[in-house]
Amino acid sequence: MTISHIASRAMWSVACVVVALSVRSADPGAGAATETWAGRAASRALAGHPGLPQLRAPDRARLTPESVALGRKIFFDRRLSLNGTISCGMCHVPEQAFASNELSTAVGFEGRSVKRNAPTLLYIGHLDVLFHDGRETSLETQFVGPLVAHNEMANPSIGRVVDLLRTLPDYRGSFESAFGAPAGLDSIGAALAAYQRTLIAGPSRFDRWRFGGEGKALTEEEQRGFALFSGKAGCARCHVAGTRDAMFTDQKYHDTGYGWWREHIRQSPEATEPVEVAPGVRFNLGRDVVASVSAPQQADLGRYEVTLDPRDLWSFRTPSLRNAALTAPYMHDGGIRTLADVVAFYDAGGRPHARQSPLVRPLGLDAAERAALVAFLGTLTSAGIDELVREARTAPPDNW
Amino acid sequence: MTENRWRPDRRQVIAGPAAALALGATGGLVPAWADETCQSPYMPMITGQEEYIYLWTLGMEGVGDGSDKVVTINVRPGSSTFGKAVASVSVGGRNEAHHAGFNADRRFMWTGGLDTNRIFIFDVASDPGKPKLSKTIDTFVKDSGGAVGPHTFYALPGRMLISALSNDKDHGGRTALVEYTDEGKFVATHWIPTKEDPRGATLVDGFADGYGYDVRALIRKNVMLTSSFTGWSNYMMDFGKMLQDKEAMTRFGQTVVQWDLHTRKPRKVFKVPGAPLEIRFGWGPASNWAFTSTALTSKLWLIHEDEKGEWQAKEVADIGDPSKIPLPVDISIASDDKSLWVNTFMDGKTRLFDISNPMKPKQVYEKRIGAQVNMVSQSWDGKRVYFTTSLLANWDKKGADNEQFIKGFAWDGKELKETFNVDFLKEGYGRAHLMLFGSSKLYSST
Amino acid sequence: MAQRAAIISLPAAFPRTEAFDFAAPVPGSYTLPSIKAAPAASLLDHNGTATELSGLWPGRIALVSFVYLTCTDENGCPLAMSVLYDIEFASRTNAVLRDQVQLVTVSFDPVRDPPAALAALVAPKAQDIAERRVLPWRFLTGTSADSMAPTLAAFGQRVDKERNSERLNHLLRMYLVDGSGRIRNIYGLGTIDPRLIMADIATLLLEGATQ
Repeated sequence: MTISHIASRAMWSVACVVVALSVRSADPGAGAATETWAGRAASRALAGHPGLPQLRAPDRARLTPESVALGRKIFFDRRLSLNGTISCGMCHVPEQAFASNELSTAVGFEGRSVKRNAPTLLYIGHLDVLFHDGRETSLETQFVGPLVAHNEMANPSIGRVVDLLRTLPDYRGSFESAFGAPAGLDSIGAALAAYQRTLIAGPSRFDRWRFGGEGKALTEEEQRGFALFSGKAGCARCHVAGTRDAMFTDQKYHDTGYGWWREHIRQSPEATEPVEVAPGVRFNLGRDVVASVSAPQQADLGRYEVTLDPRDLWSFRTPSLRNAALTAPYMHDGGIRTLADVVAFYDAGGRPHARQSPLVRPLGLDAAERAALVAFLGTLTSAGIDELVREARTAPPDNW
Repeated sequence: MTENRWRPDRRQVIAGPAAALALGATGGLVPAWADETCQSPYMPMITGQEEYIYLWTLGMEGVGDGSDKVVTINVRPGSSTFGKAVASVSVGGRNEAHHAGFNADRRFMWTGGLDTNRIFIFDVASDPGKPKLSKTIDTFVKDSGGAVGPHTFYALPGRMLISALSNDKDHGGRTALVEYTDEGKFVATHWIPTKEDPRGATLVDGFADGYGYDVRALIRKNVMLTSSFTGWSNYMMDFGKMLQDKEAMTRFGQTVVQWDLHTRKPRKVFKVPGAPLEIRFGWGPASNWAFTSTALTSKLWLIHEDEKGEWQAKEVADIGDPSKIPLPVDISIASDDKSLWVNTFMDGKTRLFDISNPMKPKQVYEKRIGAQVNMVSQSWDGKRVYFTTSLLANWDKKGADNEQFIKGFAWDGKELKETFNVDFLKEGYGRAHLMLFGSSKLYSST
Repeated sequence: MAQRAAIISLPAAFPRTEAFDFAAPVPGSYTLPSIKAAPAASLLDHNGTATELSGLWPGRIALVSFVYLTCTDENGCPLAMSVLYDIEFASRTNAVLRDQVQLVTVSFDPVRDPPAALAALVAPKAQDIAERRVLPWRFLTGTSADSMAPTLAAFGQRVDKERNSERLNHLLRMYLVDGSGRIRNIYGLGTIDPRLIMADIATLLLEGATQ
């Protein structure tokens, strides 16, 4: 891709204006307007963007306005869970950066507990490693798990979902039109993948500074933060920021000690649990009281659950840090609420134990350095998320 | 037929409307109305002996058929089946059965599912001893434009006002009031005011969260109040998991909203932190106030009209030791406005507060009902008090502490004495939740 | 403008009472969503003339009530009728009420309330209505004992005959019907405040709902 940074910035702002206009004029929900946003979204997915590597897409020809529009509809269709209450979008909430800001770990069918935090889907098309433990590597197959997991959407079989999509009247003809075939595992995966690959949220200030030649796009503190990030603090060794692009992840698995520590707490909890019952009102609740209303909490062994290789115990994927300021709470179980606390965790050397990655060690940062790191992370927020939210809400979620 | 006969002094007829309504808002229905004291004043009341208790019961995996159901308990004194279940109707599936309410002519009982948003309407008039499923509304979310979790069913003439708990965009706490006709046709949605969109309401403390829970009205003052709980993600979540989820714990309602009942326009938003739940207005002709209890902070609050005619919110009492998080849940006000039963879920206790001075409630009695207790309903004369156990499927206690029952008690002003007890696990019903009273005397046959 | 002001001041034609101890809502500050179409019914007027209910709606906003004339429950039909008489009385001096509103009272007891019984109620006011000194007030009844049941059911007006008694148990209901024949509000005891009804009528008039 050879579009210059300046030109591509101009393209962004033009796109935003046009989309805003089309959304306004499209209020009655005309089909043509849907095509407009989906067409723009498809083009966006296939275009090059400063700071982003090439999109991972096995078959770019299937990323069309029709497949994107269909994927969006499926993504927000609550009817596709066993009791009609959960869609992909109920945990990957557009207004919450396609993550869940209100929950540490997700809640699924009939309130069943999911042991991990719902990760953001922004830039998901640029990742090879899906889920916190990398158990999927392709969006084309990733969707099956959540649809049939008993504690997520709880369909008794994936065939039930295929049947629904073949019989719900508002889907009539849409798969045929997008893929030339009725709904099937292949086309459902292709549609969901097409939509999710459009979740590219526009350049961040960091992109403009690093790849767009805008030296003033970052403050001095933020620049110091990036210097620390790449240097003394060593963050970039896993959260890679290259010279041509930066996804802020090596797409690999590491044991920072966090997963081990959280599993240790699960097995040997403190005697009391601090509970904030209203802003500023905190009580310590006895563990026995908490236990009396708790179902057993699932163990979490990380990447090991995929490989059964003891070397992978408590390793989790390195998440991208793009839009990190919008994706709280953090870590695989949402156990840390602020970026400042995440930085403090790493500054303290994570949670040392026998298997901890040697890449994680005490950093000896001072308060100003920690603040600079947090300030830098704030520069990774994309400019175009509102546009993605508007596209996501082109129509209300499908419900019974 | 003279004109005079048609022209009684209207002021005389409806002076003290609350009392008149309580005794028979019925245009000539059977005089012996009564009820538990928490129903919409628009409907006929049972002021005498209730004959049946309808329990909206949560299905539980591995118990009986696992399905939500309405269980009917016979409480006719002297009957051979007194204190026993005499009917059970399963609706299919687990819907997070929660609250229920009669429509204004008390012939139909609407029961809601907080998870699946289905509303089951039972005919309780054709055979009051055997409710019959008459209609199911399964388009609540779509009808309402995104409200999730139909909770309180508050009867208005010809229609049902439903407070929801959540929404279909993020399963958080922002939600709405939704109106249906008695026939089950959608009429309107009224979103709870938020800070970003106060919808014309005054934010008394500069704060509004848009959350919902209960809805009750004082029609004599044209005042409607809503309280605020939490969204689907929290009320469906394992309780212990939630207590440990620092993020989730910040997503609880902190407001009571005063509305214009007639126009359904929000007027004032009061800050009432800690999840204010049930709202109970006094019945007396001068009782211009309502109680609510906050679940997490364990306080009684009074929402009252001041000397200037302005409504205010005031914290008036602690419930138990708030630092132990006793979790006050259902409350039930006596028809003479003198006392208030308050259940605390975690310690399984019921507590009686003397509220003869509503500004200074004082606990005067307590009794442990079981390992956990949620709902309380009393007869109109206060002599019979009934308790059930289930709070929410995933908030109920686990293991042996997950007792599920309805227990009936006689109250003599000093002591609660148990009169019957139905074990809902042993009988294969599930989790016992909401109670409504029925009586064949409400309906004269044609 | 004068007409608009007259409409907005409709609730002020009635006093605030202890039973309805609040300022009346401001007409037009809220909406009244359509609840359902007013059911069709073939009835008889006080002359015994066949009258289609649906033929009454165009042109005026209607306040429809269901009663039986031998009702003695003070919170029942007499209460409804006293409010209706108050509205009729107010219409003598209120042009908006007189020219744009009508009262429709339907007996659900055709056996004891034949057209002749209605005629006794209509007679004292017939001339005033004919000379447009008061708003029109129509009295209707059913054609047979059973004929009313479907109409009552469709409105949602429940009536039970009490065993061994002359009483007809019913919950007092009034219905506000716009000029297109749509029910826009339903009143029961506790909401039968003339000011609430007037605020609703004015709200409908402001939206031009007489047609």
